[in-house]
Amino acid sequence: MIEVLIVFIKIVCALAWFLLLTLYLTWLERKESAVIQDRIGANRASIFGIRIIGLFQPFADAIKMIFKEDFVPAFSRKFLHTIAPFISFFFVAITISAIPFGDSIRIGERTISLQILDFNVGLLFILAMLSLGIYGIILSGWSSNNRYTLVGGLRGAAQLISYEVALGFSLIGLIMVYPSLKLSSLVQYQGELIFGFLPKWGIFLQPLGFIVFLFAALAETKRAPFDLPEAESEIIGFFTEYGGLKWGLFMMTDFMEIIIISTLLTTLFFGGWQVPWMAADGFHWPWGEKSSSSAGFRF
Amino acid sequence: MDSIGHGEKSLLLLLASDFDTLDIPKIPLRPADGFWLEIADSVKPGEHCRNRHSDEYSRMIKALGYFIEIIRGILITSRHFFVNMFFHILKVVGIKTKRKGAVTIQYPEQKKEIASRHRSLHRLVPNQDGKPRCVACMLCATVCPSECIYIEAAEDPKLEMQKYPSKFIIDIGRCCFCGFCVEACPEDAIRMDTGNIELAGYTRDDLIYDLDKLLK
Repeated sequence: MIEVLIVFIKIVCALAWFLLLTLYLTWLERKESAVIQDRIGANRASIFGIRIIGLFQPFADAIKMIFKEDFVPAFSRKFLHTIAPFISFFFVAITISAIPFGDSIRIGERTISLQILDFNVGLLFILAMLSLGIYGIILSGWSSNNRYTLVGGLRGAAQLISYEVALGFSLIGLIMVYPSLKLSSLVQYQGELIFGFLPKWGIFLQPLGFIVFLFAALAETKRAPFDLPEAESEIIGFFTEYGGLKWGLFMMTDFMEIIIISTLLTTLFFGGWQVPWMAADGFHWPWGEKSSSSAGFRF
Repeated sequence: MDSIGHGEKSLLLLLASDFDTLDIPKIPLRPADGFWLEIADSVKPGEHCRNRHSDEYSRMIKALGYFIEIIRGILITSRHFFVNMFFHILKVVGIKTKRKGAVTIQYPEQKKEIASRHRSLHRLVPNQDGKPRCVACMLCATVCPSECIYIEAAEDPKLEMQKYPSKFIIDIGRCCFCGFCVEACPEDAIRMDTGNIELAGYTRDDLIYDLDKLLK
């Protein structure tokens, strides 16, 4: 019983954390583009007159989206049209389960690993779920019964499938170096050192794989340079016929995918939760001098 | 693009490989068909004239040019970002600078000064006795392109006036703020210099301005 409760708490915490990051990624994007374009960006949303550079904006957006009319066009396939955003969101949200957030912690007798499910095939699981997310796009494009959404959906499918290949192949070298697909042990391998000073990160072992993975992952997120399925300037995209919270789910999926891809990138190429030269007993400088973590950094 | 013809020839030869090469008639060629001997022919479908007669090197230089331009674009974008971010951070830290991180005017709190010739909400210029200077000559109502002025004239006992508007209604919802009424007025009775540009209303009736509102 207590195990179930622990897993449940882990799921809720991870999902809440990821949704919060997703919300604030929208805020960050708005602010960042505003700074690039000499603007200020969203800064009006306030609670009791307090507006901390628009930090409440994501919540205002969320409330607005929730209370908008749930519109289903008359010419659409109702069931698929309704279920498509949920499919899209589900397959991204479920990938959180395989991401290692940290090493295991001990509370009393119990050892709790900061990972919801430690698969033996964690990496394959994440890649598979990210590919299954295409179904949401295709279904939404097709079930909307609109030519533009269909074109958007097909473009999305074509793009995601083609970049999926590059994404998979870029990891093969890495998998050969670290003989495991288990993400937690993948991270543990990266805690070691090469030549005695360089952390055994994926980016140092497979720099080319990192570059390929980075670009394929950018394409996977369907964001700006690779936004073929959305393509605001040509076709309006696969979610043309959506509004309100369903559209919001697609948007959330997009941003959540960015975060998932970033966590995956960190896990695979930047040592995951490992801090370089930091062991359980303190901080070790690569030249052998030992300093305790509590005494601060000595130079 | 210029290798299409040669490709066809070799393909035909391949197909006819069981014949003696002398058996088949020669594929008719245009005169002077060969490398760099051909004079300019018509543009083929799908071909743009700027792409013709370009060799590998010129194409490479062109591609390099595009690449340089992409990098220059990214540099401009990042320059804007970093310069603006620098001034934003200075503001947060508390250092006052002449330049700001953004050019935004935060409207309801900050307002830009309206230019002196800006055409804002109309007003009727009053006489010494507070009545409108208007003589109900209907020139403004006639010239109005959106037909938003409605005037009802009444007789004035004063000899120099003779007529005065008993009703003067401007439907701001229809007005296009062209200012023709101001130009047409012989008495200088209507002006658009109130400086009021916040004319929004909750109903259409809110946007109908009558004599009382216009004389204010």
